[in-house]
Amino acid sequence: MIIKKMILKNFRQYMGINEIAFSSDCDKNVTVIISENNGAGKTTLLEAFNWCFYRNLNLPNSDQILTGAIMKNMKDREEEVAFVEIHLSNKGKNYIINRKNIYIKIDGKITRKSRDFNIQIKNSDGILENIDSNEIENIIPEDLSMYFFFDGERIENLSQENTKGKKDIGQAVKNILGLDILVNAQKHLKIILKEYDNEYDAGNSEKMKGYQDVLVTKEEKLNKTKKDLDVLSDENEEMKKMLRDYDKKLISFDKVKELQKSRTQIEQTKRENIKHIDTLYKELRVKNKLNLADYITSKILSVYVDKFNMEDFEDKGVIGIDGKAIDQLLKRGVCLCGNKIEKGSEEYNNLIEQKKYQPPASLAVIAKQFNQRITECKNSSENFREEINNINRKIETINEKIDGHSKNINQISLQINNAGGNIEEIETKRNEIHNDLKKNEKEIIELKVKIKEIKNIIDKVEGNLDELAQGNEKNRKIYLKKLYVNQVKEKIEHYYSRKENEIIKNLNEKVSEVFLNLIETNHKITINDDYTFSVIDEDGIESTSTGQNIITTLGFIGGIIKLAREGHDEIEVSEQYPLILDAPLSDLSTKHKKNVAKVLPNIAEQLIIFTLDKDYYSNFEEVIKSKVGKVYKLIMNQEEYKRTIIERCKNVN
Amino acid sequence: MKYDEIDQNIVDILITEIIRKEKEFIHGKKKSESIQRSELKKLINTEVYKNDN
Repeated sequence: MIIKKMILKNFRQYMGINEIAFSSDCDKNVTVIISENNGAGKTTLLEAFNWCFYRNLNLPNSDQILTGAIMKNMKDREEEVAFVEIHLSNKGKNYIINRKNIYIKIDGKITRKSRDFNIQIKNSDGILENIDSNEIENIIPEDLSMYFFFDGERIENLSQENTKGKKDIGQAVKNILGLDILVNAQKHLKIILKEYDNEYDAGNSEKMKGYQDVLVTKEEKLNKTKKDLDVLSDENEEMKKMLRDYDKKLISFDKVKELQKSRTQIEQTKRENIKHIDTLYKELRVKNKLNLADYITSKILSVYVDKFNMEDFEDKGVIGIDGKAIDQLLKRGVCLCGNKIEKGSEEYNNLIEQKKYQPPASLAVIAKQFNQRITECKNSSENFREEINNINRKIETINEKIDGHSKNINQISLQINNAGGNIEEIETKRNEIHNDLKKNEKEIIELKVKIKEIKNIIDKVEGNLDELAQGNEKNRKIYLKKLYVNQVKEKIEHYYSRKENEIIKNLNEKVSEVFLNLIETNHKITINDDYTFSVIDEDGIESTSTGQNIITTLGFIGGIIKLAREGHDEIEVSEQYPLILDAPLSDLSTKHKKNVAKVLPNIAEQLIIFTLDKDYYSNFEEVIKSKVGKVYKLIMNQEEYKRTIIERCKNVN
Repeated sequence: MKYDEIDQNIVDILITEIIRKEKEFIHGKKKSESIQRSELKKLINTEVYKNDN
C-alpha cells in the first residue's frame, strides 16, 4: 500500500484546506514532516490517518473535530464541515477514502448535524465508483494499522518495556504474521467448550446440575483472579520502572556512580541465577516424573528378587503364552510351526509338560515377568539418584551465590545511604519501592498458584460432567462434539506454539540484523518469549540509556517490517504497508541519527517521518536527503486558538 | 478425553474451515464474537453429524 495524498479541512488545529502529497517514488520513498516545536500538530496529523480510516482519535478532547477558531466564528444556523481525505493505492487499485463531519450552530450551540464515511475506487476508465465502506477492513485492517503507525508515545512505551509496550509489540507481531487468526480460533473454541458443558441436559440429575453450577462459579472466580493478576502485574511493571528511574538518578551522582553501576550488575547476575535455579527445578520435576516411580519400584522390588531362585525357572515357561493357548493347539492338532500334534505323540506330551510352566498352572512366567520388570526399572532409573544429586548440588551452589549477591547488594545500599543528603533520600525511596516489589512478586506467585488450583478443579468437574453425560443420547451427542472440539483445539494450539517459536527465531535474526546496522557497537539484542527485548553490552550488562532504548525500538520495528515483507506461509498477511513514524530523534547521538537515516528508508516501501526541524537539520538530513522526495513544514500560529498550516518546502535537494 | 472414536478426516476438515472462518472474521466485515461462535458451532454440528444423515 502506498499513501499518495492527504487533504484535511478544518480538522482540529488544521484550519481551512491543507494538503500533503506524499512521495511515492521508489528511489525517493521518504516524506519528511518537520515542525519547529513540539505541539505544532505532528501527532494530530498522524492521528488524522486513524480518524479517517477507523474514526479513532487518540488525542485529548477526542470528540472535538472541528477547528476551534471556525467554531468561534460560526453564525447561528451556519454549517461547517471538517474532513480528512486520503488517496492511496493498494494491490494495484487506487482508492479515495473520506471521513466527514458536518456541524451546525443552533441557538449558540454547535452540534454535529451528520457524519459520513465514503470509499471510492478508481476503475480502469478513471471513473470513481463508491464501494461498501466495510471494505476498509480489506484495504487496511485496523488490527494491522498498529504496525505501520508509530506515534511518539508508543515508541516510548515500547522502549521502556512496560506492560503496554509488551502487549503492543506482541499483538503487532501476531497480527502481521497471522497468528491472531489462531489465537482467535483457540479463544472461540474454548468458549464453545464451556457452552457445550452448559448445554448438557441435567434432567433430574441433581449431581449434574451441581457440577454445572460449580463450573459457572469457578469460571467466574478464575476470571476474577486473572484480572487481579493483571492488576498486580501492571503494578509490578510500574514499580520496576520506578526502580530504574531511581537507579538513573543515583548514577548521575559522581559520589555513588560506581557503586550504583556495580549494584546494577550484581542485581542482574542475581536475576540470572534465580532464573537458572528455576530451570534446574523444572529439570528436577521432569526427571522425577519420568524416573521416580521406576526408581522407587526397583528399590522395593529388589528386596523380593532374592526370594526367587530364577535358575529354577531357566528354560521353562514362555512369556506371552498361557495354558488356554496350549489347550487350543492341542485341540486343533496343529502346532504354531505347522507340525501335526497327535495325541500320545512326543510333541503332544511336550506340550502337556509345557502347560505346567505356563500360567495359570505355573508361576514360572509370572516370576520371569516380575524379574524382567525389575530389570527395566533398574535400567531406567540407574543414574537417577546420581543425576538428582547433581542437580541438587548445583541448586545449593547457586543459592550460596545468590546469598552472596544479596549480602553485596545490602552492603552497597548501606554505602549509598551513608553518602547523605539527596542521595540518602533517593536510596530510602528506592528501598521502599524495592520492598514493595518483593511483596508484589510474592502476591503474584500466590495468585498464579490459585489460578492453577481453580483450573485443576474445573478440569476435574468437567471430567465428572462428561462421565454423567454418557447416560442419555442427547448428552452423548454433545459429548462427541466436545471430543472433536478438544482435538481441533489441541492441534491448533500445537501448530500455534510451533509457529510462534519459528517466528520469534526469525524475528530475532531480523531485529538483530537491523539493530546492528543502527547501533554499530558490540551490543546484542535478544527477543524473549514474551516479545520483550533486552540489549546487553559486551560486559553482559543490560543497557538502560534512553537513546539506546529508542535505537532498540527502531531496530525492533524495522525487524518486524522486514519479517512481514518476506512473508512466510499461507496464513500470513503478505501486503506491504508504509511506515509512518513520529521519530524521537532528540535523544539520539549524532552517530545513531545518521544510522537511522541510513537504515529506515531501506526497510519500508514508503517512509513518512515526523520530526523536529532541529533534529532533522542536524546530521539526519545530510544522510537521508538522497532518499527524500518531499519535505513539509508545520507552521503554528499561537493565537487565541491554536492553528497550524502545512507548507511544502521547495528545493528539497 | 478419548480420541479413538473420532474421525481424523473430520478433525482435519474442521481445522481448515475454522481457520478460514477466523481469517474472514479478522480481516473481513465486522461481526460480533457471539455470531462468529454460533457460526463455528453450526459448522461443528454439520461436520460431526454429516455421516448420520
